[in-house]
Amino acid sequence: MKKFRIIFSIGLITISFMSFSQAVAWQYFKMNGNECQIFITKGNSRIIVPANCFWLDEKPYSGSLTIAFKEYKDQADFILGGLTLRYEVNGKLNTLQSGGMFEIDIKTESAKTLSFAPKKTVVVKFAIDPRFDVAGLEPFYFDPATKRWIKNTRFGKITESNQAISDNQTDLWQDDPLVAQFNRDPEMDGDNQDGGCYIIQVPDPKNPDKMVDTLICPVLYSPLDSRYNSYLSDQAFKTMQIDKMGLFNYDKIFKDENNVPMFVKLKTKDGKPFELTDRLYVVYKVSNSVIYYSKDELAEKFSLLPRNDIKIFVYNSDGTISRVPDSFWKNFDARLMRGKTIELPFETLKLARLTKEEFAKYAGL
Amino acid sequence: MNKVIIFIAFIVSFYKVQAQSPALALDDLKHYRIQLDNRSNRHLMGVPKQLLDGYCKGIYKAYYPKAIFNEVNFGDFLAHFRWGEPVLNETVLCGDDYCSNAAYTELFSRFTMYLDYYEYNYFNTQTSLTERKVPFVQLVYSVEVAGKTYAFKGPLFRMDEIEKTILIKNEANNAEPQSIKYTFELGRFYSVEMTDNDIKTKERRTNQEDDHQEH
Repeated sequence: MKKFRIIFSIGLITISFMSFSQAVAWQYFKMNGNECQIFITKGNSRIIVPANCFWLDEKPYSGSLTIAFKEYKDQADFILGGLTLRYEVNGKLNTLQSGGMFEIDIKTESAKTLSFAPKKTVVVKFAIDPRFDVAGLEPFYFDPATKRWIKNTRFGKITESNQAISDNQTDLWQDDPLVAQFNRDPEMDGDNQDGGCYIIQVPDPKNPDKMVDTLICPVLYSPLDSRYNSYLSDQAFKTMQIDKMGLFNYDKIFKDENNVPMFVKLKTKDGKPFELTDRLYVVYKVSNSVIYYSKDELAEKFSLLPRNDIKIFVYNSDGTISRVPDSFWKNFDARLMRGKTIELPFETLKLARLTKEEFAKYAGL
Repeated sequence: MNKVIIFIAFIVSFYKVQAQSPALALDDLKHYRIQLDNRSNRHLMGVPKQLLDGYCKGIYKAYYPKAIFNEVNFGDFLAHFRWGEPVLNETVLCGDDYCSNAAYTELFSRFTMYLDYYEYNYFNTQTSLTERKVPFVQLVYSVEVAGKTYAFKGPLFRMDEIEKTILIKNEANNAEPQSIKYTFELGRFYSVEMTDNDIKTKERRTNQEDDHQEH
């Protein structure tokens, strides 16, 4: 009976721990070092591991190994995982906008750390959340020694490479191969089944005084149609070749040049001063980024973008969430607040359990 | 006499500035297109395949034409040309062979008609000659619709990142292939300069291969 009680108690503790555990869980994949494997993660990402990719104690390792992998897809994952999106380069502090992060660690069965064989890489095809699939995401690595993000590209440290660039793919390419697909003539649909396309002259959208050729395909036909279309519409991937363990990110600098600086006062819903005990988070729901302020930073450099998807909340150390209610933002225009003081009302929610989904719901993400 | 000296000094200093400052903007460079099935260009036919294969494997980095210091993620490249990763219910090749999957080879085959490049001229003070630098080559997606070929410019590759590993068949000596940099700087192929008008009339031009200027 005593034994049963102990087992029951341990079970209860485990269940309650799991209920409160919101951080992204590790996923594990097993293989042998001399094999080539493609693993599909729970988040639909692909991990492509070539044969003979790892070394142990400076020698090729062909034995059994375990790949531990974590996927961080959205703002809730970043906050609950305690991850920062601050990126300092050339003396300037930026915020990153992420397409998602992953953490990878590969060990032998006896938990010995493996290293990568020379010229070998593991390829991670990260299944990006389509809401955050923007142009110009580049590979970043979180340096565990300095606790800073490093842009893992040849030009990662130069100014030209660290400008905020457009989220639209078409702004970064010269040609848009999809243009033909937007110029079908619905009236002729079905009349001309032989796929005959023709060209008309239309004003250039960027320069209306100039006429440009536009391809019209009357039937439902696109020169870019391929058997991968339906698959692509389901899922897009970001590719990264990695040759070390750690935390990686598909990122770009968050565009915040329109930020409006303002002063801020925090109060409870019934008008009493609200004491900030933890970080104050500012999240723009449709941008996969997390901005935060400590108490000191809040007094010095608080600013907001003039957008209508602002969410502000505090994730308190006691597990409660204090948030600015959505109703506050209905008549709020950040453009009118430059240099003025904004009074943010907070309502505090006590949660019985805090899963990622509940956290996201209460924080408004 | 003084005027002549000042003029010469101006010309020399102009070329020096040109030589010292790297050409940063693509708009400042001359843009050329090579038609790869032209009989004078067949030695370059394998270049797009080599670039794409290396790009897929992460050996080469590709850059956005309008953000030349920012890398194009391979996934964004696929998405731009409305393509996807190999479907998992197919037999998917693994490891280094992943880039040989049918999904990729079909896409890669659409880049084999043209190869673009960008160049600028500079005055080499050592040789006292105006020489050519080719900092970028560019993939071009081509597709035939109703008997007409349409071309869409793709990602850029930096010559200094590919020059050591992309080798061009040497017609004179099969045993000694040449580096892509050497081939491009000597201009051993036919190409046409691309301008806004050229792009619209490329169809006509490609039917007049013999009129292409030699580069």
